[in-house]
Amino acid sequence: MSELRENPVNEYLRLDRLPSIWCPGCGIGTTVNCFTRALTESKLDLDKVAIVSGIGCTGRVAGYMNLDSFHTTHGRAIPFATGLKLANPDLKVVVYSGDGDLSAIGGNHLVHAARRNADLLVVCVNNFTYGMTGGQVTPTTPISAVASTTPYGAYEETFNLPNLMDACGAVYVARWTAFHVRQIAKSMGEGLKKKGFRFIEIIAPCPTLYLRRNKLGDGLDEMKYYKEKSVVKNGADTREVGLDYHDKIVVGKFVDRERPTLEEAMDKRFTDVLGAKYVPYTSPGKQPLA
Amino acid sequence: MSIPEAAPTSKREVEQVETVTIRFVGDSGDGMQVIGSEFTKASALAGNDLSTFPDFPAEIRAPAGSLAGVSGYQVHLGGRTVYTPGDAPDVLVAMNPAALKTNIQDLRLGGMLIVNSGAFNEANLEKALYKKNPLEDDALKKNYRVVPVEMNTLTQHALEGSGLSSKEVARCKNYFALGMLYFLYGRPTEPQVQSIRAKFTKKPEFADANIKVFQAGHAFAETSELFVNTYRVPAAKLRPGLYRNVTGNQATALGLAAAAKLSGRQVFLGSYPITPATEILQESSYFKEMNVVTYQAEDEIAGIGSAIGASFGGAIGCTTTSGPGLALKSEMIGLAVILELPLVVVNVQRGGPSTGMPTKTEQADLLMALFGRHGEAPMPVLAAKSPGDCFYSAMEAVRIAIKWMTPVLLLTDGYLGFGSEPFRIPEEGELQPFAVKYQTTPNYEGGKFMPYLRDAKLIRPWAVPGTPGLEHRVGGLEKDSLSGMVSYDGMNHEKMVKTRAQKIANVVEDVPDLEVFGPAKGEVLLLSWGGTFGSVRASAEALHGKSVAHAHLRWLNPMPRNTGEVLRSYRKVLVPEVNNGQLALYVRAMFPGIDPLQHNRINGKALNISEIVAKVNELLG
Repeated sequence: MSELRENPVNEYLRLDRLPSIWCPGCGIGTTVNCFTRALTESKLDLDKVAIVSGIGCTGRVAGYMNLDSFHTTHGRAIPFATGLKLANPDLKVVVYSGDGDLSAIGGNHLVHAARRNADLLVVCVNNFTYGMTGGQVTPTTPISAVASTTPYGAYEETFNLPNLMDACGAVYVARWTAFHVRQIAKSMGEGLKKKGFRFIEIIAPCPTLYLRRNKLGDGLDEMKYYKEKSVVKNGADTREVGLDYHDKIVVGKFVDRERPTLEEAMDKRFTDVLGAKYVPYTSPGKQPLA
Repeated sequence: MSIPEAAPTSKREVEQVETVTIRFVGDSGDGMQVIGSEFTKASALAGNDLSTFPDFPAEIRAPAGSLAGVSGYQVHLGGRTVYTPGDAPDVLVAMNPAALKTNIQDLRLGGMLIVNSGAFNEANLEKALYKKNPLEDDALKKNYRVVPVEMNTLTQHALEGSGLSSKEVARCKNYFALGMLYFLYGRPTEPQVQSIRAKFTKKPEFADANIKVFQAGHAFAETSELFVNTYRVPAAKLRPGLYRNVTGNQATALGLAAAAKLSGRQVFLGSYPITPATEILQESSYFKEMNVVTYQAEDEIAGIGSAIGASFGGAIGCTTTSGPGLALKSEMIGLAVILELPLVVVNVQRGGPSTGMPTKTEQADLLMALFGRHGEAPMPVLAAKSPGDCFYSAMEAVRIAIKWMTPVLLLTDGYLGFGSEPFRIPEEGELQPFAVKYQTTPNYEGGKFMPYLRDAKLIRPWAVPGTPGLEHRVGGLEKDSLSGMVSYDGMNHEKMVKTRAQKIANVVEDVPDLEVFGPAKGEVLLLSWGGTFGSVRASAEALHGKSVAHAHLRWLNPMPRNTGEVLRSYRKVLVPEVNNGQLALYVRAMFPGIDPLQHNRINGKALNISEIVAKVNELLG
């Protein structure tokens, strides 16, 4: 008789919220699975991990994680997360959102958070489309791909997100596909450990909208494509990792470097200039309750 | 020109004046704000009550000598309570033709015009669109006491051999004007000399030059026969204490910092620069030892977003802005409403819509503050009534936000934000602390934590992320009335909408009753809100003895419990506002049957007392 065992992922999830809203074959759940593995490996105190999402399919991740979680407005996960981290430096703050949310409506916040080196791990699930609103074109939709607002194919130049983040100063930049579950978990683990602005892009299938509209098959076909067309190139020049429609995908850890975080830079500046007059802020838990 | 022979000082009459309003006007580069605020400081030291208002162009440096580039500073000082920077100035100090042209119509008939006649050359006259020199115009002399002074030449004389370039010399002439005013109003010169030294510690040659010019101006006024009298404004009977001069924006920043102290929690100010609110962020960025964190975000939305994030993290999230910025923040305010987290949004109103008149005042964001959000999103709204009151209003906004777990909107305006008055620094222990209490233990059966389980006042608990056992989710989607989990149940939504509205209505227990200045019943009630307090109260004082009263609303939502009763005690209600009638509209909706009369000016300036008085007299018949 085999013993019925609980899925080890369960303890990280709000089971009462399941089943999730994600479609069969969607890649977002896969990334969440990887994230829970990374959390286990990291041995972090889960009370000190908070997750912030924007809006959209990936934006729902915060709602399913059994962590302190904040489901914000469209595009604004990063500002909320930055404020949360500044007000509560003890927390490990993770932003989990999609390509449309992070790089279109939230693009301004994305580039500035990387420039400031805000101490955030940003996971961007890139499925090349706005899922929740019905499959519109996003800043990452490859040229010629069909979306509901580009019925004749997309024609705008896309964001090469790893390159954008590299140029803005992110200290850690990696890209994987939903096929690379071990590598994603490993990258997320590294991301959880590291300080500063860390960015992980995960290419993931959206079978209901992007794949169907482009006649690319289902989630499994997409996994086969990821397996066949992915090229691992750790340390690749991010200028050369742009994506073309249904073409090869360069994956790997592209950037891993050190730079003072926003809080470190702030503390250093004020300490240098003001000396003892400067009172560094601390997490509310560290202050005695009045 | 030749300096007139000295008149024996003893012959001069010293005239006691109850109050005086002086306006300094010149080119943006003429240093009018500097001498205006220096003269204000001297008046504060002399114990006068005062109120000031700077009036400057939106462009940092408009073309020299142009009409658009005129910058002004008005100070009203008195031996009694001063409510406003004054209607029509008694004294106008004009440094060039453009300044004269844009301001002379405000000078009261018979008022004194001290004018830098040296600047009235052909080029400047042309820039000011004067066809001929107005100083040679008899009309000017008939209406005003004109005192032309060759300030350019006199400044050059004072600095002969100083080694400064002619441009540097020209920049000192504002201190010549200041020196004259010091003599006329009997201000001691020594503190000013010290103040100049302190201002130019790194450039002592400029300190020497400005002091010389200041003293030359003083000596010129003393020896010249141009001035028949000198003036004394007696000290006002202010409550004893330590005073400092504050602008409304400084007071707002100090109020937020005081709230950090009183609550024992960090104030997190996430903002983006916007006139006329920027000064609050700037001031606050110095408060590193006061438990204030400032974060200049990449845009207005990120400013408020970071503040809400900080509130989720246990800090007191605050954000400051002006009209267009409030519009950008409105989605986020909706989020704060549905989250029920503390947040203070300060809106320093300016002329709108759009970029409008950024440096000019207006009260036209009232309806946006009350109603300008998507969905049913009520929140407490209060408005400061004077520059010093910005301190108390900011503190009160924080107290209410924390106590009721809600965003609070504080309205000030450009007139209060830029204007200043003496502010008595509260003594230790005078301000009531309001400690923050976080939830640290489960609040529900089975050791669970329910983030939306409310107390009798409908307030939900504030649990900080990182508190063991209290992991919870918050978000913008409608939430279950207990667990806070996403809920699309229509009846639950209706319950939540009603509950949030009732909670805000409950805030009325913290709203003091409306006070009436003047008779408790009668003919006309003047009803004001926000920055017009001073003008309206001064009008009511001027109408003393008539059947006229004044009530001022600090709280716009919820309004004081007795508001309807007060309004119904007068035959007519007149609402003076710097907008097109927003409070009047609100009153009509809230108190059916009451149809207030309106007095609206939307000219970027504070309300004119004499106009309000005239309007009331007309109503009295």
